[in-house]
Parts: sequence; C-alpha cells; structure tokens
Amino acid sequence: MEDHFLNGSTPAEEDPAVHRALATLPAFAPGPVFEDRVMSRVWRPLPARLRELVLAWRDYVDSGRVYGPLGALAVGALIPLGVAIGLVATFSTQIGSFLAWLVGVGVPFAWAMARADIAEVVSTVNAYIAALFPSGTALMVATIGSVLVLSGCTLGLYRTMNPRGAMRHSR
Amino acid sequence: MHTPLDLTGVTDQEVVERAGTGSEAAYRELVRRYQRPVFSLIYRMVRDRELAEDLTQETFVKVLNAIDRYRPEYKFSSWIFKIANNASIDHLRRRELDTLSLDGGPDAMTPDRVQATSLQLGDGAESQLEELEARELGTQIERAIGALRPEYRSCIIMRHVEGRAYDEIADVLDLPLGTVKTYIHRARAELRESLGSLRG
Repeated sequence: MEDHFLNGSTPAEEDPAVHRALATLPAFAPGPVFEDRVMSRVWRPLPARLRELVLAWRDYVDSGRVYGPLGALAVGALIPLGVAIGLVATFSTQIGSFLAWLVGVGVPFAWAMARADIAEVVSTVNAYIAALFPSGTALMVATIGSVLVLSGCTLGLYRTMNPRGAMRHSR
Repeated sequence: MHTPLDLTGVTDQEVVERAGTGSEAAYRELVRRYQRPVFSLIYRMVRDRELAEDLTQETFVKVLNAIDRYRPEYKFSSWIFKIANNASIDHLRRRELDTLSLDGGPDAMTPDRVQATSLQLGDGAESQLEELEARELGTQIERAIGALRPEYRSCIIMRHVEGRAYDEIADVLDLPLGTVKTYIHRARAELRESLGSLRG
C-alpha cells in the first residue's frame, strides 16, 4: 500500500517536517515485571504433554483404529449378561416360587416387624417426655420463656455490633 | 518459569499455534513481541503511564486467555491492536463522562459559581513520575498528537509509529479503507498546523 496524500504527492514531499517529527517518536515500554504480571493472570489451556495425549487420542479415533478394541470391550461386557439370562432361564421354576413366597409371606412379615419396632420407639419417647415435663402447661411456659430469652440475646448482640450513630458517620 | 526455547525467528502464526498447545514459552514470546507497540499505542492514547500499563495488561490477559479462539486467517497484530485500541477508546469515553461531572457542582448556574465549585485537578507540585511523563510526552509532536481526536490519533500512531499498512489499520478500527486514508490525511494536516504554530 503506497503512502500517498489525497492529492497524489508523498508525505515526505509535502510534509517533510511532520514526517521527520513522526519518525523521531520513540517506542515506550511498560515496567520491568510486566511480562510476569501478565503471565500470572493467564490461564493456559492444557499442559503441552496432556494436549499431545488428547490429540493422539483424537487421531486414533479419527483413523478408525479405535473400533477393534471398542468391539472387543462390548463383547466382553455382553458375556456376563448372557450368562445371567441363561441362569434365569434354567432355574425359572425355582425363581418363580421364591418370588411368590417373597410377595405372599416375606414382605408382609418384614413390614409387621418394622411397624412393631417403630411403635415401640414412639411409646418410649412419649414416656420420656411425660417424665421430664409433668404437665402440658409447664412445657408451654418453658417454650415461651426460651423464645423470649433468645430474642433478648439476639437484640443485645445486634446493639453491641451496631452502636447508635455508627451508621451516621460512615459512608 | 522460563522455558529455554528460542522462538525469535518464528512467525506470529506459529507462535500462536504453539501457545494453543499450552506452551508457556510461546505465551511469553507473544508478550515480549507486542508489549512495546501495544503499550506505546495505549500510552499515547490515554497519556497516563500507570493507566496505560493497566490497560496494556488487560489487553494481553484478554488476548492470551482467548488464544484458542484466534482465527489464523487474520493477522495476530491486527487482533491485539484492535483490543488495545478498543480498551483505550472505552477509557477515553468513560473519562469524558467523568470530566463532565467535575465541571462545577450540579447547582452551579453562573460561570463564577462553576469556577468556585469545580474540582481543581493537578494542583500543587507534580510528582517525579508525573514530571517524567510530562517530559517524555512533552515534545512538540507528542503534544500535537495528544491534541488530535482519538480516531485520528489511533490512525496516525498505527501508521507512522507502528508502521502498519492502511488495510490493517482499517481492520483494527473497523473502518472503511477510504475513511482511514481520510483520517490520516486530516491528522497530518492538523499536525502540520500545530507544528507550524508552535514554531511560531
């Protein structure tokens, strides 16, 4: 790209003084630790070695060489599945009877046991509460008292941390 | 940590490619190559060394953190100058708004009142650093460049200080080629006038 003025003459011909002055302008440099300051804030994508591994893996996939090992892995995963299906087919009668027993007897029995245990725990807790607080009125008064004491403590703490007038003097 | 890898003779595109693989040496090489031109451009635009250093740092951090999005069909120098120029122009626009708010209090209706309520910036003795800045930017030509409109200033610095081609300047500033030529022509005319009047 030629450096011409709009009227066709070069700047050096038309503007020797300006051109000379512009040619004397120096390049400025930032401070001595500038490079390290920049580098401390730069996030580099991946370490070079790891990047190379990723690229090698992509190359391996793109070339189609990965499909052999992947196929072997898939077959390997299918073997235990086939074995499981074979076992179920062989012992189908026994498995059916076991499931019928489980639904008819096992599960209802386990549920009844669990209910009995839960009921026992609940009655124990009730008895414990009744022993600690003889009347419902005493329990209510204790609760209200606790709430009032807690509110008073919170208010006191707030006043201590924000003394009167503190907000007026700060910006 | 410096990696002992000499990239001085390697093209920008190749260095960027290596930076894309995470090579620290490549990142440092890009900083070393462009820190002076980018800093010079920003410094001449904002005329404050500390601020210029901050904006230069922001420019590099932005560019290097987005290195994987760099498109090799564009010049790396155009990309980094574009970000540097945008950072400078954004700052100048913000400062212009701030300056308006300093020109007298909101209730000042008369010139006297405006004078009385204006914030006096730069009162008192200048620090050594400010003196140094004033000296290095104080030559006739630097003053004349500082008086140009920001668009003219970008164009003239990139053309005559950094030696960039017109079409690259057009890319950097997102302007048509003809507009860039016109800006440079007008900037030179203003510089000629300023230098002439300074010589008296």
